[in-house]
Amino acid sequence: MLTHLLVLGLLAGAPEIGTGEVVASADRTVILRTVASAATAAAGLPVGAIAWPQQYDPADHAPYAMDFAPLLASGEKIAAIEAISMNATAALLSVGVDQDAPYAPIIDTAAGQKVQIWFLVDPVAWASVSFSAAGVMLPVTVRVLTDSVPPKRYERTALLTVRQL
Amino acid sequence: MIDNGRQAHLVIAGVFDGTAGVQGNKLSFLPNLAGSQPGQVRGGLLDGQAIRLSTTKDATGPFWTSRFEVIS
Repeated sequence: MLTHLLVLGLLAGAPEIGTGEVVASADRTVILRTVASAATAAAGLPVGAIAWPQQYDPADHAPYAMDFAPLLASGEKIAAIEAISMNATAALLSVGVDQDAPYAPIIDTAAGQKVQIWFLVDPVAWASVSFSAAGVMLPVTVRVLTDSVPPKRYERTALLTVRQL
Repeated sequence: MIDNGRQAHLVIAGVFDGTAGVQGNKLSFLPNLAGSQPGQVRGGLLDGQAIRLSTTKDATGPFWTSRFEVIS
């Protein structure tokens, strides 16, 4: 049993679980689909990935959320956030996920089906020409583990448009 | 748990010399030299380490993304 839990990452070595109230507004929440659309946002980005309706100004510091509810069974909750990653272009542009309290990623305490993220852009890059005009669309990938028995794992990507607003 | 990638010094002869974004085995850069076609280069130096590249242009912007592997 112990080995089983270790393999599943539910015991030692499992990531810390942060929970809290998700305060991201509806326009800053993507509701994930059970079946991704075949339409693609752009080559190089995951096919069918959904974009947050609200775009992001590089100087913003506001919460965004991913709603996993359509993927989860009745009563099923997110037990852990296994990983969150930005891509290489985000790293180049100094766009990242804030890791510091009270802005670190959390799982919704209410229904346990949303993950909230605060993005952060290095002030040095706020005026980057890359964020002018249409800006840049960046994929944000989140992998979660559910509390079902046995646990399920879902990894989904949402698209954040960063541009001067 | 959170992987925001990193920045590293990338040199691609005739294409780029400056800061690139790196995440996993992919890197992103904006060409700043006009000596070679970015899509045709096959190697470079990342933080002084020789790397093999496979480069494609992002469809949505001016950036070039490349899978890379360190040549040991």
